[in-house]
Amino acid sequence: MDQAKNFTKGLIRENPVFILMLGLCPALGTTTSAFNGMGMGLATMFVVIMSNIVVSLIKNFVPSKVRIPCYIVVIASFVTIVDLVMAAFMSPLHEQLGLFIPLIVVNCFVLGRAEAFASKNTLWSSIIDGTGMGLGFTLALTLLGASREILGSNAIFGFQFLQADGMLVFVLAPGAFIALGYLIALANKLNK
Amino acid sequence: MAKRESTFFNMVMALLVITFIASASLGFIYELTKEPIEAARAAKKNNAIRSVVPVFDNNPSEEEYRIEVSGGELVFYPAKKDGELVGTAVETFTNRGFSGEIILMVGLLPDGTIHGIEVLEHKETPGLGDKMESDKSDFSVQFEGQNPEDFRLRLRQDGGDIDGITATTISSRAYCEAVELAWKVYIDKDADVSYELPAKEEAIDRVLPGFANNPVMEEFQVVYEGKVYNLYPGRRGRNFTGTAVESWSESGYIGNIRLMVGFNQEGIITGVEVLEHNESANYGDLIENARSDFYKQFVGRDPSGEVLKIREDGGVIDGISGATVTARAYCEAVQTAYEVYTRGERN
Repeated sequence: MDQAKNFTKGLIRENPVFILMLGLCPALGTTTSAFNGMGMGLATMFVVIMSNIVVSLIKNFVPSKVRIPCYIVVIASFVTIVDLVMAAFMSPLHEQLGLFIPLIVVNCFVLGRAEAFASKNTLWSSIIDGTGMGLGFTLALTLLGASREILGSNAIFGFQFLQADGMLVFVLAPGAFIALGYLIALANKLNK
Repeated sequence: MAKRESTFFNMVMALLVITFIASASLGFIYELTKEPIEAARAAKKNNAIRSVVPVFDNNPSEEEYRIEVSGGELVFYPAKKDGELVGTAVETFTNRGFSGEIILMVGLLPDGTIHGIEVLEHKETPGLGDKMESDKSDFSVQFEGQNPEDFRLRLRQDGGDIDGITATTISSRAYCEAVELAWKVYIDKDADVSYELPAKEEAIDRVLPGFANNPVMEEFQVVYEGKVYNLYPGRRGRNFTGTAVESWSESGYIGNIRLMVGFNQEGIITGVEVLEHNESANYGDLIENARSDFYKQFVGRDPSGEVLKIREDGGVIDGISGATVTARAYCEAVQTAYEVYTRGERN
């Protein structure tokens, strides 16, 4: 397998948010600022890589009829680990993302990678796939967060570049859908 | 290694082994992070205490005391310098935020003056409700140096002295309530902090001017437009001081709104209390006297000369934004009470 291609596919060609449209709930919910989007992306990336590693290792041990519950247990464990470690050592970020960290468990993008890729491929390919996909997810969330922060709060990564009220709608839920729509259109254009 | 077949034994074994390893590793991580998590929490709390009270040299967390209130408990951290109390940080809360609970640390000086406020926890909308955090806007500054004794902890639109945050009325309102709760309980640990509606006797007591009898004992019924209403006359000696009318409107946003309206001899409104309603939290429930000054607009009015309707309907009453239907029904119930008082026929 061409590992370079395996790695880059997650960034644009099979970007989990823009192309596969997986994990949209946290993508819309957490991206009120670029920093929050990136934090959520990195947390998810850690979970994807770790669960891809474990799923790839246990793929032959797990009978296919109970594979989904097994994968979920693996994913849930890593999410809890992320939750605890972030609460202990990155408390400000954990407060911002608090509610959404446990939701990584039900992020179908994580289970999707476990089921569609890691359970059928070697350990090494799974790590590459998890990293690429995780980066793609982080990239998408950071982009979405940045555009919402720029339009909604006139700021980027917390740096206020214009002292005025932004377009409130972009901070709220409807703005998330609007911004995501345009970013998807852009990603489709780039993919052609 | 070939894929294992889905026999009963294999499935049970796989699940057993995986869940066992998962729980073991989680237990391990939990033990590992337990202390740092508690340290982070304590540090956050101590920072909040430090920023809301004057300089102190004791350990307020060691001298904390708790007071139960309806819905939870408040934690008090006394800050002392050279053994003398210089302020108290109060961990207070409200469940009426836009997205649930808001926890604040309110610093009070020994006389009850607010020294500073920090937000400990909230889930309000980023970019809107989170502006109540002290590093995101100056909202909390307007509380500093004020003594709630002569400073009303209400938003301007509810009759208080606080400028709410634009487009964030509910969060601002909840914030004020949490601060008020801390102050009330600090001043008097048995203070009535529940927002329970008054019982009939209490409502009569509040809406009728100086009476000496027991109006409930002298209750009488009046019929108006086919419906029976209860009236409670107030007397001092042989003089009538006024009458309380129990009336209702069926056109509330959610069901009936039941009011107790007091009138004096001239038919001027002496007070209004809400006895019962099912209106929405944070919107319709602002008709409650404990929550806003809406009722005050009625006191002292003469319904024979003034139109007791909200402004949109051509009246003199400022409605409640977001609760037009409720405000309209309230006006209707007051109007009904007046009709009953002046034109009802004794049963």
